[in-house]
Amino acid sequence: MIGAKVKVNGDIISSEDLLVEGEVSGTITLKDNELVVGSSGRVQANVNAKTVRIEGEVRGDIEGGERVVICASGNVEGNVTAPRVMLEDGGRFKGSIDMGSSKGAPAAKPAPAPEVRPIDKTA
Amino acid sequence: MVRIPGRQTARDPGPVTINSRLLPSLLDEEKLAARGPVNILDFGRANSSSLEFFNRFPCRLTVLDAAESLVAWSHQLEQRMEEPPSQQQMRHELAGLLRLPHGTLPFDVVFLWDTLNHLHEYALPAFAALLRKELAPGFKGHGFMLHKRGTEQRLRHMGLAGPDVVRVNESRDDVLYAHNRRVVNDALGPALQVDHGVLHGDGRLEFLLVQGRS
Repeated sequence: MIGAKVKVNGDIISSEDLLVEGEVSGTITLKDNELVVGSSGRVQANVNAKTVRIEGEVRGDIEGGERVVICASGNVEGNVTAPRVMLEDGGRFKGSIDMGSSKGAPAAKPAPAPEVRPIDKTA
Repeated sequence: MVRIPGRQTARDPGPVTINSRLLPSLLDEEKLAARGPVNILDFGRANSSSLEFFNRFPCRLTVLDAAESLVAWSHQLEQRMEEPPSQQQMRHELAGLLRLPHGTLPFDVVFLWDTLNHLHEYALPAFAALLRKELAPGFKGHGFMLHKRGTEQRLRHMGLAGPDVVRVNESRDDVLYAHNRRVVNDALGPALQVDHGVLHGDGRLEFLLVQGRS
């Protein structure tokens, strides 16, 4: 889990499920696992995961191997590629969705080396 | 003056469905499934029922969620009409507002919803010029046109509830821009044409947008 007070700049590659409640900039790759962007999560990254569930905010391209779910509190701006894309009522989305195929997603851009630091509460 | 004050009601009536006789010509599922990935442009707000519908066949859906920003831009344009911007300037401004994807395949199907009524009449040619660059040969578009004086004016967020059903998910009062069909066809130019039209009981004209003869 990336907590609400954690900010990550860089690439995240994981073979475990991941919950993001903090801020991530860069790329997130969880080929065989689930990514959840929690309600306080803010992601500016290209994302590649087996399933993606968004309750917070994502700016970037999302590739889901199985499905992508944008929840009622979710807000996504970017391109989504997944065999199945679901949007709960109230969820916001702006961009393109490739449906019925997981191929053809834009490649993730290289990002700087990982840097993990707590967010300044006074910021 | 193109702003026509219409009858207005404050309350949101909640989700309302509209039966369409024109949508099936765009949304024949067998034809869509057979033709391979379909490139769809939706000027409306993303919603669960539209996504559920488009999940049935391979497609790329581009959602612009443009209604509120276009209405706000048109209201600002009214304030600038003493020294109106050029069509080129408006095309530039609209392109920045809509952020249509560049370098992708042209669109086969376009859902305009109420977009034409979100635009000031003076901006229609600029909008049409921008749109037609993005359209595939033989594309089909669908929308509604508020053209009768006194028709209730609401900013509506709509989606598909089926191959012949439109669902109004949200609506609220706003000042829109009513245009008659002749004005719209003139503004669209020879490359685009409002084809079939069905007048609904609420005074709105549902229409298909197709490729013009030239």
